[in-house]
Amino acid sequence: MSKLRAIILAGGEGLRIGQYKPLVTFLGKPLIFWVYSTLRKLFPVVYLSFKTEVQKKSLEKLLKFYKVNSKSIEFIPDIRPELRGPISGILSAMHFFPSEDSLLVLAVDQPLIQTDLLLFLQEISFYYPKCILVCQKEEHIEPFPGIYPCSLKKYLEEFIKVSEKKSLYRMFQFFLQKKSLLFLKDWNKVDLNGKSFININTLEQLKELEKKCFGLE
Amino acid sequence: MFWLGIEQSENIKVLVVEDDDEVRTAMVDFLIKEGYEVYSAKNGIEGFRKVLEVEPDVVLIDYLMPGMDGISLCKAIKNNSETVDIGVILITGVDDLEIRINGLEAGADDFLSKPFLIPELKARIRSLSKIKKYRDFLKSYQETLESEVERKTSDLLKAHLELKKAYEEIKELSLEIIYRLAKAAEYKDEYTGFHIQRISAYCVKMAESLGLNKEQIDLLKYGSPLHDIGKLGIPEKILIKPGILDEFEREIIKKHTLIGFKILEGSKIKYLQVAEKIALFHHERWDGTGYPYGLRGKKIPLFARITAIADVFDALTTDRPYRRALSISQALEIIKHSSGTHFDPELVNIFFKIKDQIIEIRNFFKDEDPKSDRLFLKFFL
Ligand SMILES: [Fe+2]
Repeated sequence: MSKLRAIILAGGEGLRIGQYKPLVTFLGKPLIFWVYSTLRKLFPVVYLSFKTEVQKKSLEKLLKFYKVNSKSIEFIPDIRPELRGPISGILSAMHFFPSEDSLLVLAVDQPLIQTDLLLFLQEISFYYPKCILVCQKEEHIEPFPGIYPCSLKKYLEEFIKVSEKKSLYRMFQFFLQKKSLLFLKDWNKVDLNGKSFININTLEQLKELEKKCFGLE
Repeated sequence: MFWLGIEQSENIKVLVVEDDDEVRTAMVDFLIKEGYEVYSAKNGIEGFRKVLEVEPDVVLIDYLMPGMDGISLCKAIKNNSETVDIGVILITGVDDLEIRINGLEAGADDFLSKPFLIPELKARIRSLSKIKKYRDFLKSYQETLESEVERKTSDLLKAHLELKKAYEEIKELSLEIIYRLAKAAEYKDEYTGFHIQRISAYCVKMAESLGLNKEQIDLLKYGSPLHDIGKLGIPEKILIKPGILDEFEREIIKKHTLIGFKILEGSKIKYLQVAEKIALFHHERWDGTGYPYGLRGKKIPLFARITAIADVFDALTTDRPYRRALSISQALEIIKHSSGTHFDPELVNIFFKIKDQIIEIRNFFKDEDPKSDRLFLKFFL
């Protein structure tokens, strides 16, 4: 029986923000904390994909500090660390689980992610167990949160092999051709303003968002 | 026993039409003595008037008469539906073959040539009056029969109408019970509003477009609302759990197909027989990845394949605790994408063909509208 696995991609280098992204503080807590606590409302176990041992160690330290139940976290090592970007994290997770499972993949830098959007994605994934599901905002594709079925592992490997650029944009084009990708345009029925998709790439953005959030309070 | 009466001469009316007074009087006297009820006329015109007046069984007509002759009178009698059964004896001269032929053409039943013997006359009258009485009897018998048939028919018609009314009442009653039962199951679920009503209406539209006959359409119409009846057997805390279900809970939910089957199993009512199959198979998928049995393609009963599309479309276009209803276009895109995997591609094509009608139904049964319930019962019954 297939399972939906919640994965946080925590293998980024955080070049633009200047430090390991999961640990960057947002509203007094590390970025990863926000995403993790949202996921824990829905899933008993949250998976963290990492690229280097250093990353794993710092994450473990952090979890210890916040007294996170170790049973609720599992680590997924990157099997293709030489590949840049999030694709190797997705591929590693696809290898980590049985092929009938699906991945609910989240970025570590989207602290305002809404549980309702995740429920929506899992609802639709029920109809498409073999299809990538991502949201589309006008012409812009939001790769995370998204559903990535492990059964597409072979296709993803094929893409990595044949495509020169391993960007998400190219990957989506590839899966569109394979008729294994569906864009969900009605995400606003769940998350009216698209808060879930706000991501933090720079310290300026982080400060800006913090201000906005305090403003809301 | 029945015919005894008509053998007796006193019941027999004889009309003698003869211009010769002597002959007429002699014949009348003789016939009275023989016990006949006798009438007479001196010429054709008077004769015909008396025919209409006394309705004789037998008329004796002299061929040769001034004015209206015997042949003309004979024709007049035989051309009238009221008098056609009266026996006509034409009295002619000896061996007047031509006149006899004319007489036959005019409808005369028998002939007597002057002079004739009394026994001959008696025999002719007897046989003709007998025939006339038979005809009269048959006529009245037929009339009685007809009116009896008419009475019986009207009785039958009345009984039929009463039966039909009773049948309609019972049908309406059982259909309403089906509807209420479906609603009962719905109350346990997170669905509110008019899910089952729309499902039924969507299914009907698809079945119509598929060209199914009226009976089949009705079966689907009344069977489809019970697709989730098995949810009555699923614990509420799982059914309306707000988060993501774990493996165990998902397995429990899947049981609603088997429970539904158990609830409806073995009924003699054809609507419930159809409902039983829909309840059991509406979560099967075209590519064989559904439940409970993983049936593939056309092995999944048609009605369940139709209901599956209606069910998913309605779920997508209905509010959920965590989201508002998806737009019709998004829902249609999802359905289209599932063609050939989740759904029967042929039925998906049909669904798209009747898209406008589907949208109409969606707008007609609005969850927020309290009138929808009454409107639906009207559609349903
Ligand atoms: Fe169901």
